[in-house]
Amino acid sequence: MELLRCENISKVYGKGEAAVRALDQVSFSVEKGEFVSIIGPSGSGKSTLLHILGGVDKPTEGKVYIDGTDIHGLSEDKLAIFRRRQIGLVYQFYNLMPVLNVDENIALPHLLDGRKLDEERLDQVVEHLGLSDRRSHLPNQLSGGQQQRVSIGRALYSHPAILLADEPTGNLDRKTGEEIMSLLKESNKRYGQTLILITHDEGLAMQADRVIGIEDGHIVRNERVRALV
Amino acid sequence: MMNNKKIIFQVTRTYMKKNMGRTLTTFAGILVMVVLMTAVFVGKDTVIQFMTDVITENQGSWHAQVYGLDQAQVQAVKELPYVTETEVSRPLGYTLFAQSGNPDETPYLELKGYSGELFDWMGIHVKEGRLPEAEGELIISERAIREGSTIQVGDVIEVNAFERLLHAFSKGEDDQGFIVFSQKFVVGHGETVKVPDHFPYYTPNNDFEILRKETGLRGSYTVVGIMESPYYEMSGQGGYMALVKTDSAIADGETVNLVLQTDLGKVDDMGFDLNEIVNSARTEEELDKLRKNGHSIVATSGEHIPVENGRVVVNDMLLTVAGKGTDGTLNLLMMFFQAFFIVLITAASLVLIYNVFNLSFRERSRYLGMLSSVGATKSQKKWSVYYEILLLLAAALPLGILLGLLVVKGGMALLLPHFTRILGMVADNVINARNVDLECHIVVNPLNLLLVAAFSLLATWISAMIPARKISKVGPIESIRGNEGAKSKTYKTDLRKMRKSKAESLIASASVTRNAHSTKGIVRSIAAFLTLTLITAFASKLFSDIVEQKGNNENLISGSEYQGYQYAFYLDGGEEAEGYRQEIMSSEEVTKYKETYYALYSMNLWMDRFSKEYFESREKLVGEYFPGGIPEEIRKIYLEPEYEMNHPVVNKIVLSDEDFRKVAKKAGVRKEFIFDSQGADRQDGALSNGQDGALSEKQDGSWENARVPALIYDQAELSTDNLEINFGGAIKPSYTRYQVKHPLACEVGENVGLFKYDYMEDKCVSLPIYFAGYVGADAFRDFYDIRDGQIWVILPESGNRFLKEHYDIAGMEIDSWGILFSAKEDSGLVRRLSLVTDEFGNSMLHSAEMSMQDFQAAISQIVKIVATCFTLLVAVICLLNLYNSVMGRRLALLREQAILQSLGMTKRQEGRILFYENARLMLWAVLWSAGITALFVFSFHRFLSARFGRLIFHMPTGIVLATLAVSGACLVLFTKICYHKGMEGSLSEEIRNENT
Repeated sequence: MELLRCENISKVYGKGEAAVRALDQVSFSVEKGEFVSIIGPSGSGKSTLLHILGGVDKPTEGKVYIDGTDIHGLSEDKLAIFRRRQIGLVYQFYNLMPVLNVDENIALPHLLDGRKLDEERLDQVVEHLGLSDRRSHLPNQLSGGQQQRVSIGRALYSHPAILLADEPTGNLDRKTGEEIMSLLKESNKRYGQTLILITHDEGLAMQADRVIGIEDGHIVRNERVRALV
Repeated sequence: MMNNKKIIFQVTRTYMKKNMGRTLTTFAGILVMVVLMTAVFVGKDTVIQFMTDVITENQGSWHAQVYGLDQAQVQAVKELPYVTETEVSRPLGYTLFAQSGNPDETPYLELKGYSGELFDWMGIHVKEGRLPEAEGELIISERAIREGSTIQVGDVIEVNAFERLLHAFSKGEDDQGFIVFSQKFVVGHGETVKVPDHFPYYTPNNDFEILRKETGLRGSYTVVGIMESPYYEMSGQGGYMALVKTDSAIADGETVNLVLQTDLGKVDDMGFDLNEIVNSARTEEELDKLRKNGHSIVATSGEHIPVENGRVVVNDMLLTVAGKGTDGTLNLLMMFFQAFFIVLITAASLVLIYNVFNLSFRERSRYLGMLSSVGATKSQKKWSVYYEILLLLAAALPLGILLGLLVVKGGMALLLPHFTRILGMVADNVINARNVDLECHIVVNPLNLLLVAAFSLLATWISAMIPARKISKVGPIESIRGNEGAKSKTYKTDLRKMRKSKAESLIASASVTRNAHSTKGIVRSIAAFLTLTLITAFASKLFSDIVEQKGNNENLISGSEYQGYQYAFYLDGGEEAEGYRQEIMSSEEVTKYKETYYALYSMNLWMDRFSKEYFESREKLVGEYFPGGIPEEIRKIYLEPEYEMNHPVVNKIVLSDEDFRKVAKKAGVRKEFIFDSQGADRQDGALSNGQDGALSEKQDGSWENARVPALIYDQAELSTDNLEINFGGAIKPSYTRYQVKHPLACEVGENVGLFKYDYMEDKCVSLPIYFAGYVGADAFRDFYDIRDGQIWVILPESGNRFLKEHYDIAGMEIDSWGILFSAKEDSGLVRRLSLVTDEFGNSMLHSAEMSMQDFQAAISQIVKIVATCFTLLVAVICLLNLYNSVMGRRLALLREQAILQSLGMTKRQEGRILFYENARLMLWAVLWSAGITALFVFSFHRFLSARFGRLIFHMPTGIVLATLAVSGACLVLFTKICYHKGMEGSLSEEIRNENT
C-alpha cells in the first residue's frame, strides 16, 4: 500500500543567474512499512528532498502525498499538526531541545499534540534505546550516540506514519553508527515502521529494501535490493 | 605588548562588523552613558555658574562687608589667609539735591565713595555715561530720574555734605522711653544718634527732629553717569544713591567700610573671624553690653563671641551657591544629586555592557577558543573584550560629550524659569529685587570632561571585567565542542508535571529555568529598568521632601485660604505689630487682607490629659534613649513630671471666628460646641459664660466662668526629632516615630487641661479652654498643613483675645503673626513697609506668593524635571539593554525554535510559549527589583532621615504601575519585533544553518 508519493518535485534556491536547482522533477513513491534509502554524494539534493518530504521545506514545484494528503497544500498550522502526528525526523546533528532532559525530549511531539503522556510507552522507548540511566540528563550531558538515540526515541514515540532519517550515523563512530542503524532497522522490522534513510554510505544504503540514487537533483537509480515482506 | 594582540584585535573587529546590530546597541548604550555623565558634571557647574551670575547681577560679587573698621582692623582683615582682595567704601553723608523730583520724600543725595573695583563688586550697572574716574565726578541712581528729576549727564551738583543726626525729644526728667524705628535702630528719648544708611526722610514732629552736621566735604561734582538703582537702595530712603570714586588708603583715626573677596576654597569661619576683628577694638564694658543683647556667633570650634548685628554682612546667597553659606543644604543636595546620578548611570551602563558581553559569550568563546587552540593566551583573550569596549568608548566619548552639552543646554532652557523664580524669591527685598534676565552659558571645565572620560572608562571597564575573565577561562576543547559554560546539573523528570502541564508550559518553564545565560540577561534588563526608575522616583521625592523641609523650615504649610495675596508682612507680636496691623487693615490702599497667627510653645498640657496610646508611645520613645531602662530622674521629667514646666508644650493656631466655624463645621463638630462671638447659634450657654451674650462682650463681668472652645488637630507624632533627650546617659537611637490618632483623653465639652506657667509669679494658671472636637488634616488643609507632629490647638480669634486680655502671662510663647494683603499700584504703604526690617536687617515685607509656597513648588519642579530627564535617559539605556537581551535570547534560541517547528509546533503554540516565558521573566524581574529597591529605599530613607530628620515614605504607586506597564509592554513589543525579525529564512535553512 502506497504511503508516500512525490510527484515532479523541484526545488530552486536563489534567483536569476545565482539560481541553483537542488531538485529537478523528482518523482517516486514509498510503500507502507518499506525501508528506503536515498543515496547520493554531498550536494546532490538528498537532504533537500528529505526536508521537503518531512514538510519542513516547501518544493518550488510538485506535490508530496503522505497517506493521500497533499502535505504542502495544507496551511502552516495544519502542516505543523500533520508533521507532529505523521512524521518522525532524525537528523545528523540530533536537533534535540537543549533545555529538556531525555524523557521530555522524547515525549515532546506527543505533548505538543496536546495528548496525555503515555508513561508506559515512554518507559518502553527509553528502555529499548538503552537510556534508562540517562533520563534526567540534558542533551549536552550525553554522548553523540546517546543523543541520536534520544532523537530516534522522539521520532518513534508517537508512532508516526513515516520516519525520515538524515545521515543519522554521519556524526558517529562506526560502532555507534551500527547500533543506531540496528535500532532503526529493528523499528522497521519489528513495528513495520516506514523508514526513509538519507545517506552517502553505500554500505548503509544497501541495508534498505530499496535504494534511490540521486545526483545533481535527479533520480539516477531506483533499485529494489530486497523484496518487501 | 600590543603587538602580540594584533591578531586578536583584528579578529575582534571582524566580529564587531559581522554583528553590527549588537555592536551598535552596545555603542548606543555607551553613548547614552557618556551623554548622561556629561550632563551630570557639566550640568552641575552650569547651574552653579548661572545661579552665581544671577546673584552677582543682583547684588554683586563681593563676599563680605565689614562696617566701621580702623586702619589696624583693616590690616587684620587683609591678613586673614582666605582674603584675596579688599576695597574701601566710604559713607560720605548726604547733600541737598535741588533737582529732586520727589522732594517731600527724597530731598537728598546719599553719597558713597567706592575705591578701585568696588563698582564692579557691588554690581553697579551704568545706564548712561560712565563711572566716576576722578575727583569731582559722580554717578547717580536712575531712581532719581524715575521719580521726576531732570538731572542728566553733564549737570553739575553743588555738594555740601552732612551727616544726619536724629534727636529724640525728652518727655521729662525721668523719661526712660525710646522710639523704635526698626529693631536695629532704637533711639532713647533725649538721645542724639547718627541715622543709619538708607534712612527715610522725616519732616519735623513732636517726637524727634533730624539735625545736620556738616562733614567738610564740599565742592562741585559733575554727573558723569546714570546707574541702575543699586540692589541696596530702598525705595523709601531719604536720599538717592550717588557714588564717587575714592582712595583705598586709610588715614590715621579714620574708619571705613571694608568690602572683601575671598578664596572660597579656604574660607571656613569667616563670620566669626571678622566679628572677632570688629570686637578687638571694643572695651570689656562694650563687650559686656553686647553680650547682654544676646546676639552671638559660634565658630566651628564651638567658641562663642558676642556680635553687633549689621557690622559684618556676608553675601550669603553667593556663598551658599559656592557651598560656603550659612546653610550647607544646597551644596549637600547638589553633591547627593551628583553622586546619586553617577551611581545610577553607572549601574544602568554596567548592566547593559555586562549583558552584551554575556550574550555574545558563546560566539566569542568559539572564535577565541579557536585562537586559543593555536596559542592565544588568557591575557590575549581578555583583551578581546577590553579592546571592543575601548574601541566603542573612543567613538562614543566625543559624540557623547557633544550630545551631553546639548542635553545640558536643553535642560537649562527647561529649568531656567524655575531657577529665576527661586533666585527672585530669595532676593531679600521684594520691592527692590531686580528683574534679572540673563542668558545661561554652558560651563565646560576641562577637568569635568576628564572626569566624564574617567568615569565612563571606569564604568565600561568594570562591566567588561567579569565577561573578560570568563572568556579568558574558556579552553580550546570546550569552546570548539560547544560545551563552554555547560553545567553538570541534571533535571529529574517530573512526570506529574508532564502529565498535567501543556507542552507550551513545560517548554517555557525549562527554557527559562535551564537557559540561564539568555534568561538572566532579560531579567537583569527589566529588573534594572524597574529598579533604577523606582529608585529615581523615590529619591527625587525624598529630595523634594528635604528641600521642602529645608526651604520652608516651617511647622506649618499654608493652604489655599492664604493664596492670592500680593504681599506678606510678618512681625513678632507686640505693640509695634499691632500698629502696623491697624495701619494695613485700615489703609485705603489695601484692597484685601487676611491675617495669619500661630504661636509655638504656647501652653502646657497636663500629662494626664493625654490618651493612653499617646502616653504609651511617649514611654516607648523615651525608652529608646535608655535601652537599659528609664532612669527615675528622666521619668520625672518626661513621663511623670514633677514640675509643671515639664508637662508637654502645645502650639496654637488662631483663626478668625468665621474661619474657626468653617473648620469646625468641616470637621463635623456639633454646632452647640462651637464658640460663636455673636452668640446667635450658641445653644448651650453653660459652655461659655452662662450668659446669652458673646464672650467678647463683657456683660456681667463674670469671666471666671467663661470658656473658650478649642479644636485639636487629631494627628500627633512622637519621634526622635521632636522629643530629643541628650542628657542623663541617653543614647541617641536611630530615627523612631510613633503616630497617634486622637492624642487626648478628654470628652467633647470637657476642659482640655491647658495651662500657662507664670514665671514671674512662679505659679500655674489653668486656662478655661474646652474641647470642642478634633479636626483632621483634610478638614484643615485649606488653612494649614501641619508638619511637626506636635499637639496643635486651634482657637477662635475672639477667644484668643479674651485669653490675652484676661490671662496675659509672661511665658515662653513665640508668636508668629502675619498679614497677607494686596494693595493698589504704587502704594506708599507698601514702600513704607518695605523699609521695616528685623534685627538682622531683613525686610519684613515679602512677596506673598513666594513666601507662602513658591519656593517649595519651584524646587520640587526642578527636582522633578531633573529626575524625569534622567529617568528617561536611564530608561533609554535600560530599554536598549532589554531589546538587546531579547534579541540575544532570540538568536540563542533560533535553533530551538527551528527544532520545535520541525516537530510540529504551531504558531499559536509558539505564541503561548513566548507568553509563558515572558510572564515568568517578568515575575522574576519584578521580584528581584522589589528586593533591591526595597533594600535601597530602606537604607536610603534611614540614611537621609538620620541626616535631615523626619522624612515620610511615600509609595509612588502611579510610577510603580507605570513602570511595570512600560517594562511589560516593551518586553512584549521587543519579543514581537525580534521573533518576527529572527526567523526570516525557511525552517530547513535554519536547521541547516545551525548544522553547518
